[in-house]
Amino acid sequence: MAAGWRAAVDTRLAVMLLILALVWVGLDLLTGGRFLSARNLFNLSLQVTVTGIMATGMVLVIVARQIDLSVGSVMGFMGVAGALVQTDFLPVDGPHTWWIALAAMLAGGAALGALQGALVAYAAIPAFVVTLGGLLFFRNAAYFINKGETIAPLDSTFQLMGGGLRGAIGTTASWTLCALACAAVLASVLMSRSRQERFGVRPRPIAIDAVLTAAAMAAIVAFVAVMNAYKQPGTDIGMGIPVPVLILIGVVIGMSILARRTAFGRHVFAYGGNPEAARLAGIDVRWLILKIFALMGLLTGLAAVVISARLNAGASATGTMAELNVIAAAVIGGTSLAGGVGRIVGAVLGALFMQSLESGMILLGISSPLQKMVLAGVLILAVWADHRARKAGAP
Amino acid sequence: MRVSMSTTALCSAALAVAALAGGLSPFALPGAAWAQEAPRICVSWRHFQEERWKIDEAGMRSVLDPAGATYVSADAQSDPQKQLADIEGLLTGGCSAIIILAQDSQAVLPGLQAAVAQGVPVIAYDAPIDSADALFVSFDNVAVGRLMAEAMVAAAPKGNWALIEGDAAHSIVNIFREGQMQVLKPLIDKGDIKIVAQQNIQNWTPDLAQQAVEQILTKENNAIDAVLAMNDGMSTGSAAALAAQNLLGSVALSGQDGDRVVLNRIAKGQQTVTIWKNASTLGAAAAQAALSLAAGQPVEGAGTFTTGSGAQQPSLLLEPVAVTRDNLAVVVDAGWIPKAELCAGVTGSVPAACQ
Repeated sequence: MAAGWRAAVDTRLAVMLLILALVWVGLDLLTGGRFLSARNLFNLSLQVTVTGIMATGMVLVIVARQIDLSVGSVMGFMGVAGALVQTDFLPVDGPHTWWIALAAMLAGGAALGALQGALVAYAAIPAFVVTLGGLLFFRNAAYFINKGETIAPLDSTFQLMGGGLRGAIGTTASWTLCALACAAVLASVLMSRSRQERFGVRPRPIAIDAVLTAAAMAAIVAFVAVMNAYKQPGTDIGMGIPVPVLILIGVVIGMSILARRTAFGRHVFAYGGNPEAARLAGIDVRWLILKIFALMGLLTGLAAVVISARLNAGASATGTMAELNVIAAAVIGGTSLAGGVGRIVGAVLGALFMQSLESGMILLGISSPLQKMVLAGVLILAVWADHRARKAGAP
Repeated sequence: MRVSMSTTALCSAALAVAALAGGLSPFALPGAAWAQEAPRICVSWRHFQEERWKIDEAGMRSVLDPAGATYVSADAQSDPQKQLADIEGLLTGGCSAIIILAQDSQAVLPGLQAAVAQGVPVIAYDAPIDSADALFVSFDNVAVGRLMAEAMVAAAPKGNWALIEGDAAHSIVNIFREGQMQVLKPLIDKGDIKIVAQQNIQNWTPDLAQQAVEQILTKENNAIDAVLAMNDGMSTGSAAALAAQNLLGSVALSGQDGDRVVLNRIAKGQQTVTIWKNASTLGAAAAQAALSLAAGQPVEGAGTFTTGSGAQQPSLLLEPVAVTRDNLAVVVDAGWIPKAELCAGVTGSVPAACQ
């Protein structure tokens, strides 16, 4: 049974969840119950979306032995460009403005990512150099295209993608989604068991699957209950799940499938594990690298949508230094800078972990230099612990 | 405070150069060679492509043209080496006084020495030059903090205040805070105002300011009466956090820069104040000072400014303008923002400037 548990549970993720839980309880005690209030958890879920979305892409970039330092700047640039699309090229609050701006920002982000990817893959310039150039270029381009002037307010439908007062789906829709998600979890477990039986593999003990399924469902129900428990300010109406959090959940599911179930994902991990072997196995590695950067760019464009919608403004300084948070989230989440190893969910947990500390420390009134010092220490500690665990042979 | 992408480094070497040049004060010498003819006022810009400096230039010309002075200028295009060559070139062409917007407060010193050696008075425009030999013409940053706090106290004389300050690594933050505390300290001591939170925002980023205000509102359960944000970018982030709690307009909110979106928020009643530095006024003041120096006359209203290395520099520090709902017309009259943009989306109680 114990061996069955070890096989069924990703130890590293379990440990991360445990540490996260400890940090949450600790912060809750220190803040007199404020940290685990519905309101703060609602805040936290919104605050983690931007870093979380980009961290899922950064996992693949780092797994493929690359780095992207430009994401904060590209996000700032696309935020300003997307705001200009809404105010200068289209009527604000026009019926089609929101989705055209969304599409333009996604396409723009993907194009800039592909451009940098092409320089890395085909011009053979190291990714560090290309994206360091990107960091400087696009931050300044963000200032240049509108002379540093902030653009606001944005389209009111577009704003919904950032959360805010109206940017959550309400309690009924949230409970409906909750039921669907629970059904999906159950269905996937049942399907996996029947598949295992069909192929003659002995399924996991039913008790283990039952406990894990129940835990997953409990987590989903608890999450939705918390989002619904947070009321619109001054009213008794529950907010429900904010739109950007739904976007993040969608990205995590999509990216996890992409990473684990598709040829593209397998090629990324194969290349990261052994570039030469991947090349000899017939993978078009240059095209692969370009696609990875394009995907990172697409996610950066999506992050730009969320952050500008949330801010209700396109501002040139938005997302300065965000690249460091994104890389740190991926690394804390167990992505190895040596390449070949990384998990999408881990990176989002890493982002959540850092955001929890940061938001918690603001609640405690800790000054910002001290906050950064703590976060830096945590980053080093997390990587060291991960390294130790790997050496000790933990799965 | 608009955060510039270039960094100005002050170095101890500046001390030595300043000491060397210190003996020759240009303010005693009239621009003798040109005193009889129409004065030639030279200007070395650091990066004239930026929209902003065209406003400064217009301000300068509004003084120089009626006075019959000649205006000559060069653009360093953000290159400190080119700026030195520009200054040499301008001096060779002849200057009664030279106005320098330094790209680098230290690298520009040889240019300053060359001017001093020729007896041409130097004005350090907007950005400091670390030398006792230049007249520093800029806005008074202590006054920025003071005016901001005064306008905010008028809107929220009592209650819980949150301070959203700029990057802790930037020393200008302390200067702004010094001005704020001139107003706030007595009220804090009296117990009228309680500072319930204070956060420095890395790189003055709007999105981080938004997160900070979200957390502060959570911590205080929305019992916040004023958010004293140090610039307009951070006030935009703070406004988004307030809007998510339906508090926009009922909590006093400050900023600095006169960003158009912020002026629009003030017109809508969503923000209390932004501190505006009218570039045209600054240009006019510098031009006036240049004419006085060229004629060998003292500059009116000049005080003393201590530079980064401790040099005592003559200075002309202008008072910025606190723009609130009551005086919004000043930004329209100055051509800073079109009335239509200022008043876009204004409903309900309409400020005088929008009527």
